[in-house]
This record gives sequence, C-alpha cells and structure tokens, in this order.
Amino acid sequence: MPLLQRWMNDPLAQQWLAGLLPRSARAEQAWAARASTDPKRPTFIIQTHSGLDIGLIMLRVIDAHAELGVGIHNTRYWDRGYGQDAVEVLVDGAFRALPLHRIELFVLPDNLRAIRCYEKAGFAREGLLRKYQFARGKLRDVVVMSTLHEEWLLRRDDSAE
Amino acid sequence: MKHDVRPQVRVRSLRRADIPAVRDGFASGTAAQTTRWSLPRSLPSMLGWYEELTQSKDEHLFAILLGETLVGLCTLRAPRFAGRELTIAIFEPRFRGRGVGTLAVTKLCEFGFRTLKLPRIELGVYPSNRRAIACYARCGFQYEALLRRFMYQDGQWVDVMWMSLLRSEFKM
Repeated sequence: MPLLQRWMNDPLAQQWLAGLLPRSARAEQAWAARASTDPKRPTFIIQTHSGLDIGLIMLRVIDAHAELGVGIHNTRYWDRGYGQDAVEVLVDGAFRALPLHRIELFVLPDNLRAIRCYEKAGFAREGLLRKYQFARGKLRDVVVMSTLHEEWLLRRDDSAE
Repeated sequence: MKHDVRPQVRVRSLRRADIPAVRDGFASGTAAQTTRWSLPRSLPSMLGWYEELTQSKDEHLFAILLGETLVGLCTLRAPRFAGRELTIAIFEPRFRGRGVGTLAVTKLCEFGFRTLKLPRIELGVYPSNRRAIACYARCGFQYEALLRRFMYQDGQWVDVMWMSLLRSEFKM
C-alpha cells in the first residue's frame, strides 16, 4: 500500500496522470479495495521478470467496450517496453475472456512516449476530445485511441502463421 | 418551396403528458436510422425512464413542438466523455430539412452554456447523416474524432463521428 501511495504521488509520473491530486494512504486503500473486488474493473500489477512491481494496468468495462489505463509508476523503468508489453498482454487477455468489441484509452496529447507505446501495441488514434479533463491546472484536451476486436483477430491469425 | 415552419417551433421542458407522443414517435421507426436503435417500448417503461431522468440534475429533456404538436425530442444528457451530451430526434420526416433541428440545437446550446454554464457540449452522429452534420456545423460544433465501431446500429457495430462545441466558441 505505501508503494501505491508513493507511485501516485511521484511528481515525474504524476504529470501524465490526468485528474489526480496527491492522494492519502486511506484514499489509496479505498481505491485498491474496489479495484481488487469489482469485476467491472480488473486491475493488475506490472512486474519485471525478477519480480519487481513497477506499475499498474487496469480496465473499466462498460457494456460491450472497455477503457484501458496503464502506468509504469517506477520511472526508472520507463522506455524499456514494459508498458507496451503490459498493454499487449492485457488487450489479448481481455478480448479472449470478455465479450468486448472495442477497447479505448485517453492520453494527454503531449505524452508522446505513451502514444508511441499504444500505437506499437495496436491502438489507432481516433481524434482529439477538447477540454476533456482537468490536469496540471486546467481543462485539457485528450487524444482518444482504440483497438477493435476485429483487429485483434487479425493480429492473432497473423502471429499463428 | 415549403413554407417556413420555424416561427411555429418551440422548445420547452418535456412533460409527463408528452410521453405517449414520444413513445409513438420512437416506435414509428422514422428516427431509427439517425438515432440509437431500440425495440418499441411500453408506456410504463417510458414513464419510468422519464421519472428517472427528470430526477437527475445531469439530465435535461426537451420537447420540440410545432404549434401544439410534439414533433421531436432533444436532450442534454450526462456526457459520454465530458460536459453534456446533446441528442436530438425529429420524428416526422416531413419536418426535416426545414431548420427545426438547427433551432432546437441552438436553444439547447443557449440553455447549456448560459444556464448550466457548461464548459462543453458534445454529440455523436453517424457519418452518413450529412444533414445532421451540416446542422451541427452551422451551430458551431467542431469535428473531434471518428470513434470506430462505437454504436450498435441496424445489426452491426458502426463508426460514430464525435463533435463538440466549447463555451468559449459559443456566441452568447
């Protein structure tokens, strides 16, 4: 739990976490309790092969689609492909396990590192939602990206050949 | 040349007594191609829908009247993304293409920005619905995104064009 609190309050990572104020340990506990029990919000820790916890990845399932959120909160592990790896694993698992036709995500337009990662993981940019959410002191635009069930089927068939 | 119906158009809060006309309007299927498809609904279910939505402060329902006749429905709803989501349906095909929608959308925007002080109003439209897109553009809405396979429509997942109008862009 202190880990979660340290992660969420890391200033370097926090600049990309839209809509989050620094949070107390109790707020993190409440969040974690919900994340670990709500079937509509499957949430996972991202670990290195050596077993170090470096980030979080989660889905919010809404009817037949889902919203994905991910963060490599241990900033020393940025730019090493962990995020892309985690996104690919979760997208694959989600399309296998859940009746979803679409997974979408929102990312701040200047977070080029994240946008590149999502593109490599198979997400396509759909547009820019203006004044979408509060981050770094004002209402910000966000890029909306998605990957479709039909695209996942094609990727899966390609990798099977 | 069709006569100008715009002077007779009024937009006012939806009343309980309007619900049978709204039910019949949707059940007639004339708005199905341009709105969310649904099965015809019973009157009690529609009344329940009305009661539920009118209790929420995030949902605003309006009747579009021509004289005393209800010809359509327009709403500001809890948003899909941010601000409020605008929806509109004109049930009678003969009242389309005559400025009724543009008037109603303008009224909703005035209400949304002046009274509710919203930062933004958003809406989704099928890319094939050229007339609606032109209407929204006339009212100042800007294209934001093509959301792929976003709605289930006539038996398949279809793309939806997303548009928005910001408070700062609206001429008060």
